[in-house]
Amino acid sequence: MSGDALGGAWGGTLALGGSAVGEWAARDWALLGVVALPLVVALLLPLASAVGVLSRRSWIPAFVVALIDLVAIVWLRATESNSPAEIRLPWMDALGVELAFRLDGLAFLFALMVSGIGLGIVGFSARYIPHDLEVHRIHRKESTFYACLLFFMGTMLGLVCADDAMTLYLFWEGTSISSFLLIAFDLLRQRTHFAATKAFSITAGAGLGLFVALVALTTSTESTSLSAIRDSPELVREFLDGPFVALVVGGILLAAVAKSAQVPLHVWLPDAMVAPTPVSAYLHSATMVAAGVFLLARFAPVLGPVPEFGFLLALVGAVTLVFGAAVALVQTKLKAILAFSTISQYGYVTLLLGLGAYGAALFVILAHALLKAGLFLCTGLVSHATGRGDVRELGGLWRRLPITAVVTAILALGLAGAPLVSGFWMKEVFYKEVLAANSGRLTTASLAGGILTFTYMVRFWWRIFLSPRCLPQSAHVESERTLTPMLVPVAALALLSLSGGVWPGLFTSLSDAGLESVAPQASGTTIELHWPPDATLLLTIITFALGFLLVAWMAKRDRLLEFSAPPPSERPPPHESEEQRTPARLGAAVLRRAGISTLYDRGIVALDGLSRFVAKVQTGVLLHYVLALAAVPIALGVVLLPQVKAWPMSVERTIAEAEWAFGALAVAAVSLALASTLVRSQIASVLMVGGVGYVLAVAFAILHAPDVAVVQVIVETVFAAFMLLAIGRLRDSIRKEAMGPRGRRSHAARASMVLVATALGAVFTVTTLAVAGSGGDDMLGNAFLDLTDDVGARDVVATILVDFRMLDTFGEITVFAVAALGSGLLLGQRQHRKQSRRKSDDERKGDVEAESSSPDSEDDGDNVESGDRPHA
Amino acid sequence: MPERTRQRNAFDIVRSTTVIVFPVVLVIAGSHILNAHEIPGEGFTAGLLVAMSVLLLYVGVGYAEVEAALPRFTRWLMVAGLSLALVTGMSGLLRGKAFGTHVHGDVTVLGETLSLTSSAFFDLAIFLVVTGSVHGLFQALGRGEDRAR
Repeated sequence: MSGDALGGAWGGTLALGGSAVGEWAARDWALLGVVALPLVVALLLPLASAVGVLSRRSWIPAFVVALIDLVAIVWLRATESNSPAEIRLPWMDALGVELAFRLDGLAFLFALMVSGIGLGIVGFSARYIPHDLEVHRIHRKESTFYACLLFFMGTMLGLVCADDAMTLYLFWEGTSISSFLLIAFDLLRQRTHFAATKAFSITAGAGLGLFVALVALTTSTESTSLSAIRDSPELVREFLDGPFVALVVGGILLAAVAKSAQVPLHVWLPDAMVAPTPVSAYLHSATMVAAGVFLLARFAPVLGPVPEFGFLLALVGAVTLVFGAAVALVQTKLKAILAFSTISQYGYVTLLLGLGAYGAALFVILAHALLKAGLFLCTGLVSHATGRGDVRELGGLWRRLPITAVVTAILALGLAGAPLVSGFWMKEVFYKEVLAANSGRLTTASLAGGILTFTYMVRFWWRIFLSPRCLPQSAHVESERTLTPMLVPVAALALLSLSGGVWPGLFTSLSDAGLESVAPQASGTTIELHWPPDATLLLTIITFALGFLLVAWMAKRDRLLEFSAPPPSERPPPHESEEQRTPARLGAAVLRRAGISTLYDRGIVALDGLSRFVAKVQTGVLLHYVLALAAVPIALGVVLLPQVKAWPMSVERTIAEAEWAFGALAVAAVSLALASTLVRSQIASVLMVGGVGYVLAVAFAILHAPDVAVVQVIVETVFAAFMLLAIGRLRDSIRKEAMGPRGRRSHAARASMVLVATALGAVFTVTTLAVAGSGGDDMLGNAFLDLTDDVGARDVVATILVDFRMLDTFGEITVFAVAALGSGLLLGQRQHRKQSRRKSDDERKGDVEAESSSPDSEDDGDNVESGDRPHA
Repeated sequence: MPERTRQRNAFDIVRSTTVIVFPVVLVIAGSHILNAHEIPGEGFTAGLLVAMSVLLLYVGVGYAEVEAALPRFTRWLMVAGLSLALVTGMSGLLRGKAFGTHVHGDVTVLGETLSLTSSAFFDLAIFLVVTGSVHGLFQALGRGEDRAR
């Protein structure tokens, strides 16, 4: 800290980083750049569009960023040569926490998915979003959309590449925040607020479980570096023998189940479908919900040996798999079908993770992400072309949108398990692992899930494209030519899935890359087809057969192909007619009334009611607030002060010659204070209170505390100015409140207020005396004085503020700014309402000399900018 | 008429005094920032002084006139102040030390040895934030009171 030692620092060179920061190579910094680039551009985009640049074509920077990231990730992986790109920056040195990123196999797989699919989504949105914003009358800028999308991309990349426990948690919650921002993109609709809050409270709330688990894990292993924990068997053994196993397992399971929308925490995902379709395609099918299973895979090396971990995962996975598929079958909104399908498919993944089949799980994640993102984009295409999103209003679109029909067929039937598409191998791999687990119940559940998946996917595609026309002849369907720019990314996804189906090695090479980080000893996933059929293939054939039968049965009984469907309404029909009472529909009705989603919704309403009840304490009368503020210290003083033992019996006479000065000052202060209560004019009262402050400043000056005296004078002046301004503004309303009907405060009221004020002053005086008598330690004060000398300054107070306690001061000025902004907003609102009230008053009196009318005085509370009011 | 003339004279006195006092207060505020470590007074008091001097201008010269002459900067002052504080703090991080570690040193410029410190920037940041906040509050409170009823 001494000036001499650091004199060299001012020689013009800023030493960029000590030893901790300087040992990373360029490619390591590139990894940091991959994570930071989307975040930085996300910050810059709204600024740029505020200045007017890029407001129309804001998808271009997003596209470029995604492309750069994709290329960078592939390059980093390709140039790996034994050591993955890794960077560790010091963050909380005292706790050993770092900002650490590492591109190992698992990170590579997920990062590839995030940036690759992100690229396609941005390309799709370029054409889709402007139309969507217009149709739904959303008054937000495009640049905001891409900024939020990039923010998500950055936080997701940070999450998958994170190699430190706290970094992981930071970016985990970052994805929750960005999901919130994107779901609530349509700010004006109540529904989106609700859905976004629901999604956030469930995923971020469960994220607290992750935090607890991480803290427990790092405490028992004494290390926050995830790779260090994973790679060292001693640390893992230490943890497993320790007391925190249940906590960590519970916390991670909770967070993962909530994030990946597994039963019972799945309820936020169907509601989240109010987001724009590209958001659903990106976040809520392919990447963000994958974060949950990513977390499970990340911690599998540590938690795998715990038997409950696998068991719980398998249970949750199996239940979700069947449940999601069953509910998807009875949905009518396209996006709802896909939402429940996502829930069900992640049940597959969870089940595989529970069985320990990590390679298969990663394969399914990859294949599913491509298929599901593509399917959501197809929904976007269909709704763009027809303006409808419900199967009951669609049908026979294969004539008008042939290419879309083909592409959707590839994706939908692929997810159902059709051969030649990656979905077929998805099912194969899944059945193989389930059969290897040798559990009859699991096999039955999986078979049921597979059949239902097949059925709902076929239904999905059939109802949109092939079923006899439910669309009236005159309905406007956009020609496919206009959809072409949006078809490109979808077709690309379909093509990728096709190539994965024809050549599964493409996908297995990627999933095996991820596998080596999860289970380095495991052999890679082998995909092969046995003929004559072995048990796995047999299961697949049975799935198809029974699926076909189910489809035919449903078609016959007119469930699927409702020829004469009534027009859909916003809410589900309250009473269902006799012939529509299928078990599935009944189940859905039960869920709606007593399910978890309803529990959550009702809970929120109850919470609202509770807060409104508690808010009754806010009476709105200034006097009540002041009395409440005074009552607490007085009560505390009365209760606690009599317990003080050591009172200062004698006062050290350091400033003997100034005794008379202090006496005079005391007299002046007391008389000013008393006078302020007796005087009639409020302004005089305020000035006298200010006078007391000035007297105190003089006292400080005499006590050799010039800095405090200066600050006291200035602050007292500012305070007096505020009070005078406030009096000027609140003159009328305060008068009416405080004064009685005769326009003057009654003597009793005044006397009681003086009493309260005196009691408050007495309590504080006695408290100060008690503190003075407690005999404090001079150590800190002397230390500060010494340090100030070392620094070469003379003013201790300023040095403490700016140097020693810099972070405190930083927090204080932030609070200062926020308080000023908030007060300014509130004052601006009041002024506005007053203006409109005054205007209507004057109009009623027919006064010609009324104030100049402000044109927007009608919208109450709308204008909260602290703008200028026009003066006549 | 005499009432009006008396008020006008009083107003003229206030106005001319204000116009003289205002730059003096600004200079004092500047000295508080630059001499923060040596004499009483730092960025915080400088900010309050500047805000008060603008309030003095409102009183002496008139709200509408001052608002017309000054640019709308309140919010940007706060933003600038907070950003500067952040940057100054980060400079500590970049040098491998904790957030907010300042640099003190002696620099020889043109034969004179100056003792400089980077905490002056932080003082400046505090000054900007406090000026912006307090001035903003004065604006919000004082708006519309020009036409006394």
